[in-house]
Amino acid sequence: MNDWQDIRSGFIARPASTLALAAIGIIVGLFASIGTRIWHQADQESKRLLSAWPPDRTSIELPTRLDQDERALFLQRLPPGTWWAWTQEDEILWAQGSLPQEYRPVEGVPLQPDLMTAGVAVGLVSTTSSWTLHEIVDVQGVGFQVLGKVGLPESVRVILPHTIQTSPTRNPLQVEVRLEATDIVSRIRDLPFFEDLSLVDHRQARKEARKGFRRLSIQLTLLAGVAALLTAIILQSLIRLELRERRFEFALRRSLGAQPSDIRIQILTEIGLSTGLPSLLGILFFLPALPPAGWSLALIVPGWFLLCALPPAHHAASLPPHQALKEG
Amino acid sequence: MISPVAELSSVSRSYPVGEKIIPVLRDLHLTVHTGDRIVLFGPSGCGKTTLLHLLALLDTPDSGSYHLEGHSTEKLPEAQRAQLRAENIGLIFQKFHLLPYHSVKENIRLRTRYLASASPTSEDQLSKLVNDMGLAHLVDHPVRLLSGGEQQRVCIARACFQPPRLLLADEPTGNLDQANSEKVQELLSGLSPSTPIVVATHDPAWLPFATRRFQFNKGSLEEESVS
Repeated sequence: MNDWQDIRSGFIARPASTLALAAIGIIVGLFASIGTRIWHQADQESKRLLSAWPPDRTSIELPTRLDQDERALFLQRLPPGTWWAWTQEDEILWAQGSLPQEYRPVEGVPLQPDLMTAGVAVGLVSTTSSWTLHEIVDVQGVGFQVLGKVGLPESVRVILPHTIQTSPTRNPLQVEVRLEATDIVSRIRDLPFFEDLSLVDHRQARKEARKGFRRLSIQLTLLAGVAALLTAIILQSLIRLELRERRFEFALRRSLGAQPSDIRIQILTEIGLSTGLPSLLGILFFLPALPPAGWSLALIVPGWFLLCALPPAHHAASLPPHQALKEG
Repeated sequence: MISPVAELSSVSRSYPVGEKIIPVLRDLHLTVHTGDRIVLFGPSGCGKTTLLHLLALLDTPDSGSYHLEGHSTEKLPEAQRAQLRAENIGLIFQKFHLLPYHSVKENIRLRTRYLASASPTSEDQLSKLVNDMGLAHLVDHPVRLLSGGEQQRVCIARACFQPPRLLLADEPTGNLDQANSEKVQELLSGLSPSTPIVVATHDPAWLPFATRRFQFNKGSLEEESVS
């Protein structure tokens, strides 16, 4: 008889505990991969938030919209050459500043005719660090304007033109300025509408975002720890119960010449097969959505099961066989 | 002089029962030679199973010495005791002690799983053995579906597959009817004459089987003459 036949017959002999162990394996595998996915998504979201808040900038919410004179008054307070952008729900309405060098025009890409009504199209702009293309048109030869891109990513915001002075037709909800919060507050404190403004210090917002993510990471780690502990308790109880019922079988094997290490290996192999393989199924269910680092779950979860099984396996292998044989 | 297969000298063994220590074996001597057919008689609880467990290296004596195939066994680590057991001992139990969901063949081969090296002719040996035991038509059946007599034959086949140097039988017919008991005696009598067999029983039907006969008396063995 080879090992596989022996183990297979054992599984047939104990369908209930085999299924229970398999169920634990699948559930733990699923939860581990879901948890890793949540952590990964939070990490991505945190990175997105951080990139949306460059540290050298301040966003100013406008609870009551400013009229054109008030906006002009506000802009007068900024040092010459400062990059700024009036936005509305992530859409840049108009802006002023210098074009960073890492962006370049892409020649020969046609634009939609309606995009060209505001000026002469010069082509698309791409970044060396991003695959995203965004339409930019030259407005009356005085600068570039990004045309109404909702959800505009930061990589495009920073390419905004340097000399746009068009008259906007829509009222902005927010202004973003490349100045730190303390600097800008000292410049606009005396404006009559200052009290209506609400400042978002990007540096502070980043700190909050990092803190939030750290808190979430700690919570997820604690949750994973508690789940791992609970799994260990449940799994060990189940294994101990099963091994207690199989005390006689192990005594019999010992009487036939099995060494304690043979018994230990047999138990660990059985646990590995009955929980480890199902846990891989659970993990595989979400594997495509997991980051490459998450694939290590395929080793960690079955490894944890084996670690949980080690003390009861060691105990079962160390029991003196003669007592169980007498009782059997 | 040929050295004995097994030799117990001044062996004692006791077990705690509650707060008391109950001596089971006291200053016991037993020497087993090649070809011996030893029957140990005694009532239930006299220490027969304890003695067989000591001979099978499943238990250790409190005092005294045990030599198996020339190896002093008292201070051997468990791994070496298991190896000696796998290579030298065949065990037959009163309650058969088979793995119920495993097939007849799997049960018979169970002992060879733990041998350092199984003989290359073991498949042929297995076929011959199951034929001799009248189990050829049952080899792939799970043993839980077999009768008591058939299960005991599987147990004997397991003990005799890859012949051991010492065969120990603990009440081998205790759970069988007369017809099956006779069949079991017949099978054991037909085994290789060189393999020593120690049978522990309270059944006088085993008297004719014995070449040496012992009676338990207060934890010791008294040899009786065999007429």
